[in-house]
Amino acid sequence: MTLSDARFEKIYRIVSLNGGANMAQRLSAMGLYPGARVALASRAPLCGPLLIKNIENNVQVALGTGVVEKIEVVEVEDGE
Amino acid sequence: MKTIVLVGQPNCGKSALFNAIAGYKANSSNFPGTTVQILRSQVIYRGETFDLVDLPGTYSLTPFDKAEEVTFDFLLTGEYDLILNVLDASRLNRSLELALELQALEKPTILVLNMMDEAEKKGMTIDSAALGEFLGMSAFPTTALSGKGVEDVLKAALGQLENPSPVRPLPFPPRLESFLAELTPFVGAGRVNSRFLALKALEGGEMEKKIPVSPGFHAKSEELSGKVREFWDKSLQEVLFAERHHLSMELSEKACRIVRRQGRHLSERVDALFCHPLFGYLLFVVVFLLMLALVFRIGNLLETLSLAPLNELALWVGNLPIAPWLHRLADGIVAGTVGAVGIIVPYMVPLLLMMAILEDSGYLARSAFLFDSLMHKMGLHGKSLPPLLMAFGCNVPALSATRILESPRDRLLTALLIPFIPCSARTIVISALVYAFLGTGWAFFVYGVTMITVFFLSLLLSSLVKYPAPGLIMEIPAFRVPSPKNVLIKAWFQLKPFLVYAIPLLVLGSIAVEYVQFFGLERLLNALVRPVTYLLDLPEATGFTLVFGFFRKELALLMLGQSLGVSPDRIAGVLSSAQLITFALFTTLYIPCLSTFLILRKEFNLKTAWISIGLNVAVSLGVTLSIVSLLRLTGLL
Repeated sequence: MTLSDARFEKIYRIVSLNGGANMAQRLSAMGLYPGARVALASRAPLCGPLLIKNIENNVQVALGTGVVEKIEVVEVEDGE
Repeated sequence: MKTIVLVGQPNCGKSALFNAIAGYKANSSNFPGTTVQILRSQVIYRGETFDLVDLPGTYSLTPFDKAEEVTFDFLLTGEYDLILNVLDASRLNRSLELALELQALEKPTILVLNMMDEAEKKGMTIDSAALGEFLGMSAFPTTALSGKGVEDVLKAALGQLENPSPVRPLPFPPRLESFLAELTPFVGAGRVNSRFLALKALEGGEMEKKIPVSPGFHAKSEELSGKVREFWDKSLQEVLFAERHHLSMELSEKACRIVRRQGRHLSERVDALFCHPLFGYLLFVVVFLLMLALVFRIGNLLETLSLAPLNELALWVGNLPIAPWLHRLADGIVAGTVGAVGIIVPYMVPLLLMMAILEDSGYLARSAFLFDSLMHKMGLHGKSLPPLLMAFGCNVPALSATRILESPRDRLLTALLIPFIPCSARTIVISALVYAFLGTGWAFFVYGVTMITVFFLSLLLSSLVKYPAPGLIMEIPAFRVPSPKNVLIKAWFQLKPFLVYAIPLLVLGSIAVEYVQFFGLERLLNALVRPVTYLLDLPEATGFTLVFGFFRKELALLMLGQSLGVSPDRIAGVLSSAQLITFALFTTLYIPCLSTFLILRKEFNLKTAWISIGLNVAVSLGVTLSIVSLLRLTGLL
């Protein structure tokens, strides 16, 4: 699944970043790299961006729909 | 003179540290990308003088936008003696990736683990000494906003300036290092070490323009990448990136312990509410209406308080028995001072304070998240919104803030829209003419018209320059209770240039008006602008105020009274309600002021600045005419 299908109250682990090298590098530099755990904090209406919370460092990043579609994740059990 | 440079990721507190060392010079906010240009200050500490440079925040040394490019280019010059690498301790592992990249510059470096208070709140315990040891440099914990730990950093920095201790980058695995060594001869000796240049040149793309390589480089890097692929199934650059990432994770695990907190922090709950898909928007509207209403109210109260004694003064000067030509001078000085101190400052102070609170709390960044999809419908980008909101304070810093936009097209469009946003000067024109004489409803109406204008203009402009907007990637900083000190200083920081430069200009302008009238020159200027005033159904005498309004928008307001021969609080006796609204709306939209024009030329080019003027003149005429005729037709005015 990709991060665009994320639901509230769940924790996901990033598996891979599928966009261009540029975007992948940017996301990694902001702390969203494969292996990092993330959660959905808010979702703007009208196909707006998702507010993603990085569990590793508590940083919140707003990501546009085009970006979240390119982030592949798996759901993990809480605390894993 | 020796130079110390501050480098770190966005919103890590570099500017706060800069201010703690150099006195208040940099603008620090809770907004990633507050610093978009190089800031330099000479600092004297314990008898030593050095240059302190604050660079825009950068996530990595692969620049992504204009501000990050500024930082990278500066680092590439090698013209500095010491790097103060500021790390956000509360986001340690991410900050370490940049630290590792900087380490490759092999310049003397001190690690500053800033925002220790935030880190502690998150339950993190960081062993800064151990971290420094791993990286082969000294490291100090600080909380720059309160000044804690800054002394230690300064002492160590002076020590380093005297006897610099070399920095060696943590090596990649031997095989990779030997590949890198094969590449270094092709990048030649630049002003920074060639291993770093080789690493960067491998990235290709924009780097090719910045780092010249000799002809054999590409063939060699292809060859090496081939070898790397056999081994790791990735390109050389990807492997290096993964290695660095791995190293930073390892370092942060070694140096940092985290005790998980239970439950949600209060700021997280507030945040959830402000970013809520429904309440977030309601709160946004409430926040902005409240802010404007407060500015109008408080401003009006202060204005009434300060105008009374100033008007006494004006009356006294008016009756002085002096020669007519001297009288004009005295009248001009009084009119300028009364206007600046009695009308403009009272509105400016509450507005600047409120903008400072919004910036410092981290609210501006949230607006980008909330309105990204709306901005996309306008053909823009969520990231365009914070500069547009900043423009309510002043258009000039807002134009610089467009540097956080990655695509040049978005940057240009945002910059062309900014001059349509009513800044503090224009808010004052609206307050003094519309709010004071016609009430809150009409003041909000004028604001509303400018907002709708911006919306449709954006639609129009973006349809002219089609381009797929890049996806939004923007960090949302933690909500913070604004520090009263920082808010006051920030507001003062913006008020000061007004007091120093604008008041003399306003006084000179008022004197100019007096003499223009004394010599009868206003007829010439009025005749020149007559087509405009005729179209807008304004008295011919108001024409030359519009000419002077180009220098500063408030000037148009001050001169309006002078041109009509009444004091500013009695204008309503001479102008009709329709004319008041026409004048306020037109002055708000008609032309970017001189400072805005100059910054447009600096940030873009002269052509863009002229386009902006043309656009504003055309749009302001169109909008003002249609709105006023509409109001007349519907019988509302």
